Amino acid sequence: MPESSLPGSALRTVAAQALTVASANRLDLVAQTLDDVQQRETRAFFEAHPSLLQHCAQNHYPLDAELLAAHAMRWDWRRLSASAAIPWSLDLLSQFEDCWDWDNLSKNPYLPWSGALLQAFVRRWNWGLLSGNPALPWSLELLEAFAPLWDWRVLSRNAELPWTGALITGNTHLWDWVGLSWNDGLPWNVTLMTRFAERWDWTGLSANPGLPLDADLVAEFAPFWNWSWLSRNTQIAADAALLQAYADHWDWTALSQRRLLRWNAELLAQFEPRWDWKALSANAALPWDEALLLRWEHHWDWHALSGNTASWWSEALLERCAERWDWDALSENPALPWSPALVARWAGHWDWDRLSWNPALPWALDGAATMLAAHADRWDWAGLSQNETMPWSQAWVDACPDQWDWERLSANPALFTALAGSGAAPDALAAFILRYADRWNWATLSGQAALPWSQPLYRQCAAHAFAHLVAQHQDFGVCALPVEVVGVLLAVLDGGDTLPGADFA
Amino acid sequence: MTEAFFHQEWAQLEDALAGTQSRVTLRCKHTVARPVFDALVQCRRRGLQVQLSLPDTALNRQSAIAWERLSAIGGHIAWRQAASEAAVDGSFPALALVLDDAQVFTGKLGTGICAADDASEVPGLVCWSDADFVRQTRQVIDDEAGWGVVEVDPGAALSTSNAVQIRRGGGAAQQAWLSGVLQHHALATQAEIAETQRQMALFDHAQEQSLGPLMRDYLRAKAQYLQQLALQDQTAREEARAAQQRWNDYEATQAAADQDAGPATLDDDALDQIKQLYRKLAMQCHPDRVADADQARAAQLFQSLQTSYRRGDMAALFALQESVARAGFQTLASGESQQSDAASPTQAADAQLAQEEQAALEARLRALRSALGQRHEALEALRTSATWRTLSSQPNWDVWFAQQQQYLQGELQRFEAELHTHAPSATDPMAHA
Repeated sequence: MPESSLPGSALRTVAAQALTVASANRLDLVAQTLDDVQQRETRAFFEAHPSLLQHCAQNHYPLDAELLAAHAMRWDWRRLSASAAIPWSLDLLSQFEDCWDWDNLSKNPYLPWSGALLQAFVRRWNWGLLSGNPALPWSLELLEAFAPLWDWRVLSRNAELPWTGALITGNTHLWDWVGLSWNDGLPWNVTLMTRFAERWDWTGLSANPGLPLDADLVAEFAPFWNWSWLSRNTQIAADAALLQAYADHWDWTALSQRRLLRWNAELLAQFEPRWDWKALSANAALPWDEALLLRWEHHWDWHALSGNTASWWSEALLERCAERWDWDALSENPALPWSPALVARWAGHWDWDRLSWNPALPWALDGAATMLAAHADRWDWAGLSQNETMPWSQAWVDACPDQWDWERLSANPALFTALAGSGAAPDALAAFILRYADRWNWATLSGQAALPWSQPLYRQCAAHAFAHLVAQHQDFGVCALPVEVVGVLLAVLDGGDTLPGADFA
Repeated sequence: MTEAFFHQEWAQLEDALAGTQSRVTLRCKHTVARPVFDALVQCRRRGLQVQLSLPDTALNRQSAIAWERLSAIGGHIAWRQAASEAAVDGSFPALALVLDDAQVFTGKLGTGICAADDASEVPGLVCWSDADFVRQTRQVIDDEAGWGVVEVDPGAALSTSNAVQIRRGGGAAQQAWLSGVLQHHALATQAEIAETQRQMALFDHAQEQSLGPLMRDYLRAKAQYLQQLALQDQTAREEARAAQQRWNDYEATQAAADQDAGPATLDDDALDQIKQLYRKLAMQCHPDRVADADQARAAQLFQSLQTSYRRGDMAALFALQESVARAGFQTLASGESQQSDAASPTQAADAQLAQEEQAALEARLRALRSALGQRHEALEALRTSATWRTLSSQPNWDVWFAQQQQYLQGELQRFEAELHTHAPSATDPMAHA
């Protein structure tokens, strides 16, 4: 079959022409040029902020053996040992064997884990931490090869192990049976549970969501269960028959809180005397409607009911039972049909402290600014400052600078996400940040990953920002610098070589 | 009806799994990533019938995943033997997932989820809801796994007994099915390439508007400065030549690109509309989907389709729609081979294709794999380009352009200052460029 007649050959021709050659070339040229310029800018940036360079390199740069050795005294080896950026290898680990923090290494998921690696540093590892590291290539062979070294108590809780009946049976004397019982990674079945019925911690099993819980299993081990924990197990799908069969065993308060039961009016009626009606009142999974409310009117706990987050609330319902609701609980209930009008309608009823912390207030709706201003003296501004649903903007903050809780504002990612999305240039952003330089908590702000950090922004805020905190989440382009440039910059920091003269090329 | 996903594939799949009501069947080419396996366990716990087919390899048997977890709660695992792998696995997508016998996902999840999968495959999913295709997919997976069709009682799924009904399709039916899968993946990848390029064209246009004049001045000044430097320092000659070349190349692209009108900016609704129209027309005039006699005309129309899409030119696409309708191409059905026109999947299974027809089908599969591979490479090349990384990572292009303007302006001023300071004479080396 000639190549030209094969399917796909015609497409190959036309696909290449979808973006014009001129556009593709121009994009390449501009990208290369901007890369060059950016690299130069980055170098100049780090020359001006050498301390930041050290932290950025330590947190983000794929440091090689040469850089590690050349600046050995500068590195925080404990932190480096937890790094994801270092190109880990057996050789690298050997070369700096005495420098690493072996506890952190033992927890590090980014090492090239293998039996050979474990063997190479068998006396260095923290075997307790290794036993809980999910990144190890867990296999029967690995477990057997280092059997005396593992911490079997930790292994027993590790859901990542290649759990099989054979693995459990073959090491009965080593396992921590309490840990196993709570582990949802085991291949739970009747055979396994029966075989070691005397060893299991039945509280752990009763709470374990990994069990194939159905009516048969519940019946099979009825004498063993911790019924209080079983009633709380998220995986149990109890129907009326199962509830009836063990009616005297179930913890009815726990059941009343469960969302996954097949709730309906009949179920409520069938076990009316057994339910915990206070717990039921708070349960959002019940089929709430006015008929249900009226039918059991005298059973409900109106405080719990007021905090119920089911989506059945309406302004009419609030109105109808206004005297019965607990307005403190309503104030923090996110399920109410919040609107500026609703807030105004019941202004005298709300607990304004709780209201201010309610994440569902209608800040995105028209009238929010008026609502903020109209009740300025009632709001708890600490609650508002940490609210992530406000229409955050520079203008919103500028509107009441003396009322915000700046500590909480510094920690609010929604504010900075909004600023990032506003399209403000770094200079404008820096001007805004610096306008309130004496109000922010700079340690919190430095750790704020949602702030759109950039080289220009950092330049302007460098006097206030904490380099080591910013460098935890920002690399400022350090990874684009060639290794020799990073070496030269670090040497300057060490007080060694001086920087070469400006070299435009 | 198919739909392609190339972004957040795992999120798409999670949503689909969450909405599944009765049965999940997953066929993995290599292995199952932990989150996918956990999602299957969750489906089983919700009472769904769960079937998993995967190769019986040391990698899987010794992996950290406790397969017995799924078996213990009533899921089905079929371990495929290595011997059968060679026959079909080469062209199978990394995963084929059937949900409720109503939808099929084929493709590969992102590397964050399926790191152990075949690195040569680009992440991306195609979702199918065509009833015939779903049925064929189930048949291929069922036959291979040997579990046939499992009857499901959604109301009592946890205690379902497995009534197994084996159906044997045969190799030819499998290959015809694979041919359909590959063809749709090729189309989906092509659509993704077109969209990537449309965005790059848009970015190119915006970048030229914002940075063009400054970039020209900067490249010119840099070339001038290095030429001046080369006059005094022989070692700078190569660099001076490269800078001159870059400036010349940039000028050349300017001249060519100026003739090309900028792409239209589309709002979300218009973008959805244009994407739908692109996919519809691609299905109709894609050269892979028309008879031999129509190939030349189809290639011409498809090229126009690419150009119109890149420009975001809705009017041109509507005109093209009429042209395609007028052309009246006879499109081939999914999996239908140009070389073996009688080989629809069911027919192929029933008729026991002759050896030469089988060979033709295999040749077609090889060709489709090759075409798909090339398209994946093209998409990968676009996605790893500096331009794509920039445009896809910048939430606001204008802010980014403004920042680059600042950098370029600073560098330009420095070159100009150097030129002014060190100018050996009034001669402008660029005058002779």
